[in-house]
Amino acid sequence: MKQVVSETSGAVFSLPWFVAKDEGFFTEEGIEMEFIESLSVKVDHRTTSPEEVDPILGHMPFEDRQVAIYRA
Amino acid sequence: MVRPESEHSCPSSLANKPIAVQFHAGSHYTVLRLLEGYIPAGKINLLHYGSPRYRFEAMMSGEVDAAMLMEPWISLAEKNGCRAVCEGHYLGAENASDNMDEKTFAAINRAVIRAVDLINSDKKRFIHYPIDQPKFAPVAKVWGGLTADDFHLPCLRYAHPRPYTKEQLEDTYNWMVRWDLLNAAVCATDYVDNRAVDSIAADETLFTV
Repeated sequence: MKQVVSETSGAVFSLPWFVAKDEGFFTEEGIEMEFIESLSVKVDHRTTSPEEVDPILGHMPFEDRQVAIYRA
Repeated sequence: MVRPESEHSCPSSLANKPIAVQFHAGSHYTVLRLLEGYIPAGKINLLHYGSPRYRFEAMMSGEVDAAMLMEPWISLAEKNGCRAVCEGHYLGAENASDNMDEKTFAAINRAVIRAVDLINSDKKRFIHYPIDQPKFAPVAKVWGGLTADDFHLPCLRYAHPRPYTKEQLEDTYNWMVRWDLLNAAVCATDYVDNRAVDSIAADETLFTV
């Protein structure tokens, strides 16, 4: 089995991935799928400037190479 | 979306009013695409509130006049009397690391396609996933809870994965440069590398829609 770690976001966005895992579709393709949830973004500084915000947002698992794939 | 008692019933009255979004995410880009048809760019007043929970709570508390939300937060807001003043849909896609091999990527996509078809055959069967997710369920409970019957299921749209077209890529790039969201010194193809999906797209059995 090929091991793959995927970042999941809100369940509406990641729904096909959750269903594919729970229904055994990944396993049937020879994929052992593991999920790591993206981080919530809570901010104290209510900026109006996009330049002040790191565009990586909650996708740190991908940036840190803990996961091989994510959706956005 | 706006609160039940809000004076806003259409996008044009939101000029200069604070709107909660998450910068550099779908809520940011979609609200710009929606509002620029109604409000001059200089009067679109977006505030970075982060994840949808915090945007929802900022709207409900009155900190902002409106919030850009997605499901299941839209259904929760509507159940609490809130209303949409405009609505849009955006395209989501998978982003793979540079060490993802084509064979693995193709296998993943075959599994995802089967799941997409299964979900589309009976969306209500799978609606418990977004309702029960840990980031949502505790907040929804505070606001009266949510059931499968509260959803407008056509809002949930799932399609087979496929690469962005060259036209989509260029149009989006030009739009983002116009809004000063990308460095115009870098060309569109430098931002998106479709190697893995291009090779898989040649397999017609995988990308038949």
